[in-house]
Amino acid sequence: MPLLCLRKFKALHHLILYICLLYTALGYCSVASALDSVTFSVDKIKANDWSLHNAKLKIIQLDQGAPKISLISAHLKLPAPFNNFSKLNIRCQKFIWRENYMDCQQGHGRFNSSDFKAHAFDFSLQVKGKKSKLVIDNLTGFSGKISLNAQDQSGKWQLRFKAQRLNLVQFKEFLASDLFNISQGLADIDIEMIGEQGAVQTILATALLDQLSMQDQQGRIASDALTLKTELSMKKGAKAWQWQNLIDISSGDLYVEPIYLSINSAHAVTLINNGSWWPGQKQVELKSIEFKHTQLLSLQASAAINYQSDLLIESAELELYVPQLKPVTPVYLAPFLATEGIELQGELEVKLKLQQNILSEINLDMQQFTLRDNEQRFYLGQANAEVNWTKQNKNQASFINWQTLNLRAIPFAPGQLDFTLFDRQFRLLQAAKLGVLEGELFIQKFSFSTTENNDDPIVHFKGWADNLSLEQLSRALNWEPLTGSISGYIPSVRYQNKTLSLDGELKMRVFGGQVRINNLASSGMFTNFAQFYMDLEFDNLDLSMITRKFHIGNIEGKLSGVVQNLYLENWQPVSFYAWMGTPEGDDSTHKISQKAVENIASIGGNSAADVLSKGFLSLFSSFRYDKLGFGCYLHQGVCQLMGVEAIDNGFYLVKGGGLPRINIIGYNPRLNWSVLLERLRRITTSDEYIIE
Amino acid sequence: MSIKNLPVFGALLLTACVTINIYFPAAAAEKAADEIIQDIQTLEPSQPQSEMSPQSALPKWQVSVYQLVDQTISVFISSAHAEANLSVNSPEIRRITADMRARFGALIPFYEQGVLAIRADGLLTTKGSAPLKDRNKSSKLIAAENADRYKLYQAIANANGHPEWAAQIKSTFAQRWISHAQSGWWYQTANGSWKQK
Repeated sequence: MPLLCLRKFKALHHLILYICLLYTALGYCSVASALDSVTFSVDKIKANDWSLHNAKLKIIQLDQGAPKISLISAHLKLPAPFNNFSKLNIRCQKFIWRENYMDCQQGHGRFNSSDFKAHAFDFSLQVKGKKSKLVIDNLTGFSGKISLNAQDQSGKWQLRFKAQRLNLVQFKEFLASDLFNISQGLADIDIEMIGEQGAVQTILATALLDQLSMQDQQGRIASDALTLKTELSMKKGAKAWQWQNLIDISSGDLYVEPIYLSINSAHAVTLINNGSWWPGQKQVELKSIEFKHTQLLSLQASAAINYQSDLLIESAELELYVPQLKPVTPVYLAPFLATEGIELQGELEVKLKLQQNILSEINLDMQQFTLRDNEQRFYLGQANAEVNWTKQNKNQASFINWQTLNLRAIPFAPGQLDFTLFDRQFRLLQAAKLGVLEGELFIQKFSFSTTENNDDPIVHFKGWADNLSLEQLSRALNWEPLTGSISGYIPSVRYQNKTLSLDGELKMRVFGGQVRINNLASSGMFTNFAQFYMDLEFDNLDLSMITRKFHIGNIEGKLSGVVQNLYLENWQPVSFYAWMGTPEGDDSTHKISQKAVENIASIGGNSAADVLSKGFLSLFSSFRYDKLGFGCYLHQGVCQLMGVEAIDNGFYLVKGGGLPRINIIGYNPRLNWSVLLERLRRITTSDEYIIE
Repeated sequence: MSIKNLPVFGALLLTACVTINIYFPAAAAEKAADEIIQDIQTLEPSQPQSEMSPQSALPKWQVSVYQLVDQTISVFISSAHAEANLSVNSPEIRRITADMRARFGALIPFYEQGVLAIRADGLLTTKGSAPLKDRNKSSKLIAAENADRYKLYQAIANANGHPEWAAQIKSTFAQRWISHAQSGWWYQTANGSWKQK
């Protein structure tokens, strides 16, 4: 800050003395008691960059031999960097000046501004040789108290601005900024700046924001009753600025899209960071960033950033530690997930590296964790995982193991998968044997990779299923319990249009025969709309075993058939073509019990109970049949029915043979699928079938 | 057939040509929209529907002019008009509506708080400020619901073999979403003002 030059003041001093002499010469001094003060104006009192404009000075106590001068009013213009305070009017109760010296004491000032028009302040200004000091105190602004203390010595200056309990709503209006809308908040601010000439060299700042409720225009950043304290220290070195910063949020709600934090003393948020800034090179080195959400997580990071053109993270490293995932998941993870209802428990440690804005390495370590989907589509319990992903290195091993794994309701035995992850590829490192449904699922080979422009991954899979228990499967899926097993070889799978298709064939040994599943495909298995496609063939199932299992009355014989193009939505059949009946050349015993006759008839409608119980047929507990068969083409909710043989206006469901024989004939070729299902469940009555 | 009879035969061929103009089935679209919306909003009883007269996608006078022109042309080329039914039964439509049905329960409190509102074009928007703890949830719900609504309109258009109908279906649905809005929900009128049911 320049030295104040008092040449003007010196001239003024001479002028006043001249006025006194003039008064004396004119003989007025004899009446000095009547003239004890003089007031006069000076257009401009300037000392380099400091200047007083339109100064009104008053000399008092002229009659007492020791005149005192007061500055009645002046417009003070400050030098840079304080020249923003351009609307400053002052007056000094006590004003002393002499050569290289000016002292305004017991001063008062007022900003000549609409923002401060009603607010006076205490003021003092002292210029002594190369030193100068300006104090503004007790300024009321934005409902708070503001003070300013500026000192200068030989061009080295220091400025301190303090504000207490500033009303941030009023302050925001003063700023006339549309960036944020503030609905409440108070601020205590203390800023100290040290510099030389026009350059700032040190900034020390603390701010306490209390009960701050604000949001930006888009509502992406918002707070409610937030209490935030921040400390900033910036020092200019030879080439770069060094800074240290602390932000401590002790209470309130904070939303930074998409994360919402409810903060209290037990879960305070602290951000400590320090680094260097090269304004000329447009580079920033974040030496250390430490983010801590008490009892939830801690994160440490460092980064080198270049903003010469676009923002470029040249390199960055990040370490995250979560002692317990359960409270962290809904806060920090769930907002980024497309699906709701994912619950995680356990301990997590993650390390990330970035190079040139691109993620280059991830190391993730999870101990004793649990992953649960609240829709019960997926459960992983007592699991451990170490996942090492790199952009290029193909040889980093990863693994995941578990004590409990359920896919939907299908439980898996404890197991482990060893794999490698790199770029967009996943590859199983060694064959895996997974225990499931009392059998085993072998995965000999499994890999998948994606490309940047293609959503469908390329999948390689080879594996087989061995002796999976149908009883366990049916129990898991809440079906009527079945006995038997599933085995099969799956040479490959495909994933296209979000549909997973299995090649090969699954074979089920069930009811003394075999069921083969081909062309199995599924999409949206873990969504609200699971779709399955498959073809089924079954050979020589033992009808006696089937009918005993489903309690529909005993039927002896064999059953073969197909279900083609079976399509299920949410496990409900939507369309298929099905046929099942007595196989050609079947030489097994063909018998059907009274109860079975009744039930088959009543599926379509007619109650055969009367016919069988009251008539001649009641003498027989079972009947012989030549063949039986039933077909359905399900389309748009309607089942087009078929029998084993057509007759006029109807079709045989059971065609008798031998003695005693019985025929069951259906006459209604179309049946609503939901009605058919209901009848299968409740065996109700109607008259669409007749017993001969 | 002799050579001299060929012009007569040609004229007969000309008049035997049939042009089938399938107009957008506005009435069927409204009915379909009502069914789908009711299906999606099964968690809460929907409001009685206001009477809506069937509308064509084009103003009536334009339709009349087109029909008149078409009839004139049909003096020479016999023409058949058909208004297609609108099928809303495809796996894609069922998949989208399943997601929307699952989402509807989560939307209700935001409708009721006035956080969400139905725009005049039938899409959802943020009208009020959601509580901070729900802000991300409401933003995600709006984005997902609007994306599904677009997909639904296109899926219906595709299922009917007229992908170009998507905009008309969207327009039809816009009215029906508002019509099905429940008491207390906010919606935008055609002139841009907001009203509460």
